Amino acid sequence: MSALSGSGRAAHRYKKMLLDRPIQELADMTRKKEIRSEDLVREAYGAVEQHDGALRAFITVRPKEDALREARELDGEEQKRSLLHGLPFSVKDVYALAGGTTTAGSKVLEGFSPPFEATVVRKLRDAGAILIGTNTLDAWGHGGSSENTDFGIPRNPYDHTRVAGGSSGGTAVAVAARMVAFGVGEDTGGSIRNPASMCNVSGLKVTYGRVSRYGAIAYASSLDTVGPMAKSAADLASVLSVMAGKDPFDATSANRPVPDYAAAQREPLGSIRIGVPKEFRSAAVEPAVQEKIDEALNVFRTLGATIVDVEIPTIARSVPIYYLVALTETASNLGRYDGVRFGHGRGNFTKETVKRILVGTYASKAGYADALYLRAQKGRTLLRREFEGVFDSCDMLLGPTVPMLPPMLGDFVRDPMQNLLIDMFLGAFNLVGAPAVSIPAGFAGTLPVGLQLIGKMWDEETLLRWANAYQKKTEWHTHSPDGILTTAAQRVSDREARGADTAHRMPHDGTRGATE
Amino acid sequence: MAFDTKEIQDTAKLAQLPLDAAAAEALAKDFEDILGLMAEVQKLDVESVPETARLTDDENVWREDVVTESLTQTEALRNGKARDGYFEVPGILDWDK
Repeated sequence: MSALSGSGRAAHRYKKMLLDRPIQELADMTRKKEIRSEDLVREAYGAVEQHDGALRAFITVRPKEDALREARELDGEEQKRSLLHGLPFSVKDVYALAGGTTTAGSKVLEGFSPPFEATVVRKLRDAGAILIGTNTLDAWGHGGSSENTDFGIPRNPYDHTRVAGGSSGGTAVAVAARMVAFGVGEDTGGSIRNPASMCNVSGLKVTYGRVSRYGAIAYASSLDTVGPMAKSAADLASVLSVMAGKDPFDATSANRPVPDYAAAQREPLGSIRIGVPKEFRSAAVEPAVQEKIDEALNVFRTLGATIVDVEIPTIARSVPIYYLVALTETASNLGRYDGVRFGHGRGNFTKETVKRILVGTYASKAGYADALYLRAQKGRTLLRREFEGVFDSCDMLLGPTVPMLPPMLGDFVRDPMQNLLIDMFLGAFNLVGAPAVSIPAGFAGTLPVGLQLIGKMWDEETLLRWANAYQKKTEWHTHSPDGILTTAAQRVSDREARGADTAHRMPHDGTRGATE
Repeated sequence: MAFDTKEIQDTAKLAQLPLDAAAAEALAKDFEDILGLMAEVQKLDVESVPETARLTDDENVWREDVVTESLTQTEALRNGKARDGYFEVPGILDWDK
């Protein structure tokens, strides 16, 4: 599994940093007092200081002395609070941080200092994790490349001329470049899985309602989910165990028991039927990506899985359904930003966000809603029915996360339709509410490829257990980018990035989509 | 579907977004592309299919009516345009017109 095709800067595997290690291993080491939280926090800040000038994973970095003081206090506690005790982490800049700032990547919220803390942040901090900053993103979650932003475009750590994916791009970069032990993203239509795939990290979109959204700035309320990003499925399980659960402040959070996801990793695998939707074998999928998916299917076969063909026909129309629902909801959610109670006026939205608000407003206004928004909601019902039915013949689905390799910086700015189509296999599962995880599946040359596993509602355990089993058989998730050891000469300015050359294109005429 | 700038500006007015004619003109092509893609929902066979607006089956999620701490006036006003302990809002009546 170690030979990488292609030439140039090959990604390689190394364990030079403590933060290369799994969360469980770091927890054992701190418990045995072999390392201190202070060591981890110093290492995290070292990586930020060394690489963030080029990679731009962070919007706000917390003062180092504050984080170190917190680390020393946690080092002094005899009783460890959780597996995350003393671990540095960061969040996509959409979570309310008491005493900090939250921008959603937009000038509209520049300088906004929330008077309360998001539940997910409070839970992680109460569990002993140490927040070191907030990450770059597409403003309001509006994008698939993190280029729609007023506060810095993150670079793909495997190739600085390419995007990191989005909208949780900065968080994926922070994990990939070992600036944190884990991060928190947000996934409305693929925003955790897409950048996880492009940056060779693992990212989990949870079942709708599994994790509280209190304090998360809303993009589209019937689709938004809060989820972890980390180096492996096992690490995702450790973080999810802390994040998940009912929250009295979020009426849509589910009143269901939270399994011990980390312990569930150790249960025997048993047998499984993995369904491959016909719609995932699309002309839009680049051959280099499909090759890795086929290789992964073989790995799952050796683990005892049976691969079956299935069909979810409405996936082929899930992009228009998804955008009609998401943009109508975002037009409503972003209506609150009027610069009165917080933030600045409505003239400060980026062009991309203005466009999304306008399309959502148009699709839901009198005279058009029947043909557009309401019809999409009916399509959503069709998709849910097909999705539920597919589990008669399988237990889990597998396919590519995104159909293409990480695009060049600027490609999506010049061809905005690509920005919508990149998530053609992702938004469908937000529409049905199901959990899905993206994990590294290999490299095309030096560029990461991700695969996506999709599960039944509330069944994160099965997804993570099989993702973990795959990662025990493969080593893609242990690779880190040697490009992070970059020099100033290799940096690409935002202006240059937007003017960069074009690469791949997905058709967006009548031949678009999965099975047309 | 073709869009003239006035239609886009009318929509912007509904969304309370400032958008001059030049900005509307610049958005027209993207607007047309996106709505062209979205119009594909017309091809769905959704006769007698109900709508899905939300994913949970919960109805009216209640909690006990217990008094808890909330924001102080200073905290609530801290991020806004405030004067004399009140938010300052744009006028809705213009007596000069």
